[in-house]
Amino acid sequence: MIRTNLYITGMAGITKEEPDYKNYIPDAGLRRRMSRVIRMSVASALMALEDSGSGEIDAIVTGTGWGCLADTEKFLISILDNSERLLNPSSFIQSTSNTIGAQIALMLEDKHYNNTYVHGGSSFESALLDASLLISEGRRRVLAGGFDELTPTKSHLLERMGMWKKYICGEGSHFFVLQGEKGERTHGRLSALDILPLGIDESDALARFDLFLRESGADKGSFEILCGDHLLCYLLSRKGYKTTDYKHKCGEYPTASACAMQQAFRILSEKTAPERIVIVNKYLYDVFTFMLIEKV
Amino acid sequence: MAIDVFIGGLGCITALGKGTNAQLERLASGRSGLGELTLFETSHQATVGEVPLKNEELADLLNLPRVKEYSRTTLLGLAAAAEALEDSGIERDGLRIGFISATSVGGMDVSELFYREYHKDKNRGKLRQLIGHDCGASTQFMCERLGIKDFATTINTACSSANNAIMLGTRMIKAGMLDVVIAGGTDSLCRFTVNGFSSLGILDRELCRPFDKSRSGLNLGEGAGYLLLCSDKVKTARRYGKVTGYANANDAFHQTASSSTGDGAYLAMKGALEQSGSEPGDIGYINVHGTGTQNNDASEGVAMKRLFGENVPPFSSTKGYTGHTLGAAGGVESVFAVLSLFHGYIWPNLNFTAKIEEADVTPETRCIKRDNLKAVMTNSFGFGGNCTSLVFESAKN
Repeated sequence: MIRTNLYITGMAGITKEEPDYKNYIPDAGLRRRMSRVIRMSVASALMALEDSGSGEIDAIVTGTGWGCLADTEKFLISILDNSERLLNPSSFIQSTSNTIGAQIALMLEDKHYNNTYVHGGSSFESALLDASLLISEGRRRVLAGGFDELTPTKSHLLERMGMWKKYICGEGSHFFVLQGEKGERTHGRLSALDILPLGIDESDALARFDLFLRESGADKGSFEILCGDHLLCYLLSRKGYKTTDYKHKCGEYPTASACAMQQAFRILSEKTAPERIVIVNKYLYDVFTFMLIEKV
Repeated sequence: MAIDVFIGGLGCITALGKGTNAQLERLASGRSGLGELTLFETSHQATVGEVPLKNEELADLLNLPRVKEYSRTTLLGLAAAAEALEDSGIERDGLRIGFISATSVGGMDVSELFYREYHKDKNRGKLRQLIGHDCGASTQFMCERLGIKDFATTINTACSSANNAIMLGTRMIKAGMLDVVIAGGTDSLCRFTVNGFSSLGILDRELCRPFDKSRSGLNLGEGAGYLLLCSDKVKTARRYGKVTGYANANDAFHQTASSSTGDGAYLAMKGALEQSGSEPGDIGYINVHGTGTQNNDASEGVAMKRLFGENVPPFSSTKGYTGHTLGAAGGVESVFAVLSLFHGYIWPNLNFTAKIEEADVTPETRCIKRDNLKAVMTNSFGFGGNCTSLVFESAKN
């Protein structure tokens, strides 16, 4: 378990409904050149900064499991269709996973630390871990985000693999402004994080979950669980915990835990909210991760 | 109290061969690994740095069953990471060990084969060829083979990726989160990147000429390089040095091009130097990014002048040996920089004749023996203005 001290002073996300991008990316040419994941992510990053009341940041960390699939595919097709000749480099340039972090830096003219994690179902958690280190090293405001775009090809391939028989397909982009101290406007705090090793089964995961509750202090008061894994949802409910499957709202994608984090802060802002929310995440057959979200 | 981070093991595979001894011998003797592309069919005439081993040979060397189709990125990465672990001679019991790997192409070499079939007919293509596509999949596979359970992640910031991996590993040890981290990067050659860099018009058909006036582009390469990083309490066969400085900065100028003022490179080098607590004069060698493109070398040269003034340390680009290994470059070149520090050599910059016009900087062209190097620096810069510099210091007192 990693203890974190990250106050969320701004947040925004895009899942099913896309906003009018003109408000965030006024340059029509730029908007057109951007693939959907880039548009979605850049816009939600700018919306999160807007929500925080300040555009000032001193680091950008992002996580994506699938990366920039649309541009990657576009360039692959052009290689095949044009027999490797006279290719347009735009999609190649935009195919690299750090395009979004870079694009945000360009738009904000931000020369600070900028890093991108591409580790499947714990990509967003890796970005949060980096953010936590950055804050403990003295950075003031870190912009952190998780995003994945479901392209028609990705959806079709996962269907061929039989995934959509068991899971609801999903995508989304969520960004957060993180600080080491409580700001004027604070949605709450991310207080602990854990990323379990690959290959842990449900019963071991449950044992690790109990340990996480004890070590993080989540069990000291009232808490609810947002869970992103069918079987664990069932097992946790059976143990008597109030458990909600957050993927009903956003579907299955590698950085869905970023959407869960936003849902958690929304729940905490309600009148009848518990003191804490524990997020249990797992993408397909990837690792389990836990996050503790608290009211402050 | 600040925790020192030591380099206790090295692993590397490039066009110069497999293993750090092969690198050392070729670097010192000035023999390049660049040549014609033979790995796959392409219409491009490209000079590249291929690792001189086929996938089947790599799989055999790694004792992997031949039945599975492995991405070359994974095979190269595993060869180098396993070497770093073995080289360190650590006793693993009771140690918290992490693996932080960088890659920019992931399993693209295999995905390309799939997509060729899929593009003809959406019901075709072997789905198992896609299992390794995501960048994280290569890391997970390597992690399982290496038996590392405490932490794993993957970084992709294009050509600066591996330096960022080494930086994260260092920070996690300093924060007391892990005792040992194997950090670096791996990337294989594939059609995707050959065509990508060709479409940008920055591939040189001839041998690349980093920091030379006549430079006209880069040669792609492939390989992997990892450092085994550890805290003071970890016993290793030897200590190659310490990681004392690291910084990442963004050029925030253009998605692919570097600014003429070299802001990103300047800020990264300055940040790493300050973090290390060293004086500029303590840096005895810089392994520069030096791709051989007009843009990079001009920008990096200007940045070095800005930081070091009239006293730019001896420097060289080793891309004339290996080609540009993209996401692996920071790993490979960190190994080269550490070998320089530990064995006391300044590696020559191959194919140099006349200095660039944009900055008054001249790389070293001969292999120079220089004992008692106190500190060395290495630079890696990537798409999206992502610039990372590292400083390694001698652990000999």
